[in-house]
Amino acid sequence: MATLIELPGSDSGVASSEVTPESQDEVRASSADITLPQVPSADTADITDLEDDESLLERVWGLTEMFPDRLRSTCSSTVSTSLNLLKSTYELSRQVVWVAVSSSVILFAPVMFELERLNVEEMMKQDRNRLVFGPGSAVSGPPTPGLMPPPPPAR
Amino acid sequence: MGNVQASGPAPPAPPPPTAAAAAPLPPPAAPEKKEDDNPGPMEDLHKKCKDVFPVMFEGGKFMLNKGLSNHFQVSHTVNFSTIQPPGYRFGATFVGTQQVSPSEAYPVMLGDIDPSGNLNASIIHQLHPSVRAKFVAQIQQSKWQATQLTLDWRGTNHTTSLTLGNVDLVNGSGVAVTHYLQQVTKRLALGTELAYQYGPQVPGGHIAVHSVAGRYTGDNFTASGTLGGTGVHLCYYQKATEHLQFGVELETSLRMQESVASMAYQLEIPKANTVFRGTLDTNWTVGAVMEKKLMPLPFTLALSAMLNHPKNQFRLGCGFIIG
Repeated sequence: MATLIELPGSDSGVASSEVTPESQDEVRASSADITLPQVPSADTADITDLEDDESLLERVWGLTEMFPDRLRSTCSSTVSTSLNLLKSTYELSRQVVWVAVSSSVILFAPVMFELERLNVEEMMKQDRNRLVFGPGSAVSGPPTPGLMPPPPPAR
Repeated sequence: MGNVQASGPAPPAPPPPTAAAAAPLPPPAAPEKKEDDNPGPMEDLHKKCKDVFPVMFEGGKFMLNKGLSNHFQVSHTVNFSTIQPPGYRFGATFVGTQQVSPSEAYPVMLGDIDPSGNLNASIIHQLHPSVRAKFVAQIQQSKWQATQLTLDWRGTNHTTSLTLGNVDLVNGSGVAVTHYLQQVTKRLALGTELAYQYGPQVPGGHIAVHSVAGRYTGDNFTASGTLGGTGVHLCYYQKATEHLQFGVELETSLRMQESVASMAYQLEIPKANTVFRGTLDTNWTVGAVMEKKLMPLPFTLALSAMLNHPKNQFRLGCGFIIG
């Protein structure tokens, strides 16, 4: 009788009238082949290839994948927001300081200089008076004419 | 069209009220007949506050004032500037012979002109002991730019003024403004103003704007305000010490839909012969003017600075005045 030549692993599982124990074993082995994990000998080559391609940064970046998504997105938005805040604070403080300094230079600096100059002149005049008329006459006022006696020293 | 600013003499003490000039109100019951109850013209309502504010200028200014006689004074001004074309101006002041009081004499004529014919002139004359007239004209590029005729009648305790501006008889346009300012109590003065403009450009042929004004004078301060169709203008002046004065001003314009508040202070240092005025604006503009007299020679050095923060614009001015 004509029998079909059954190739191993391609058995469709249709029961044939003649099921020989050898063909059953072959079927069992071929299906076992399918469910078994990959044979190590075939994979070591793949892993070493991957190690050569990945850099340190990529591997560290890969570590982040162990954190949940929500935590990752929260962290990144916090960091970027704080960086932007820092930048805008710096810009604002630059403007504020510039406005304050330039306005005070225009509004207050000349008056301060004049008052300081006045004080220094008074001090110099007092020193000169003390030098010319002796100690105790460090009284600021109009210089006395030559004929009048100098003001009496304050007691 | 604008008010031509021509510096005139300070308002003198009003003449003693005569029986004929006494209005329906009897003269104020005061022991001295010469008591100054006249509130002054309406133009001077905010004067005390406005005097505190500095007038900033730009560029170099060299001015030489020379008095040729008791009545005549001449000034030469040379202006160096980037925003205005540099130029030379010649100014003359003539003070007449009608002596009203030790400090005032009339008529007063002042004007200045530059080589291309742009002229600012003003004539102030006292027609009657209580009536004063002022005429101001401005001619630019051989055309009448602005004219203004003001008549002030100073009564016993009130002042009435009539101002006619830019009256053009050919085109039939002009502006007429009447003021009335009454000294209600010793410290309070109330007044009103009516401005009337007519002409072909005015929508409807003519327009009138009415406003009220008031001024309260305290011991060390003066508060004045104008409230009307054109907007609100409030001023406050305070004398802090003998040498330090403050002024605050709020100006609102309904037409331009904007309002500006500004603050200024004036500090005098008599020992250093210096007067310093600084101002600060809500337009973020800062300005200051310092005038220093370099004794013993009659020289004055003026420094002016103005900084506009939003536009990042700075104007520096330096002036040297001799005489």
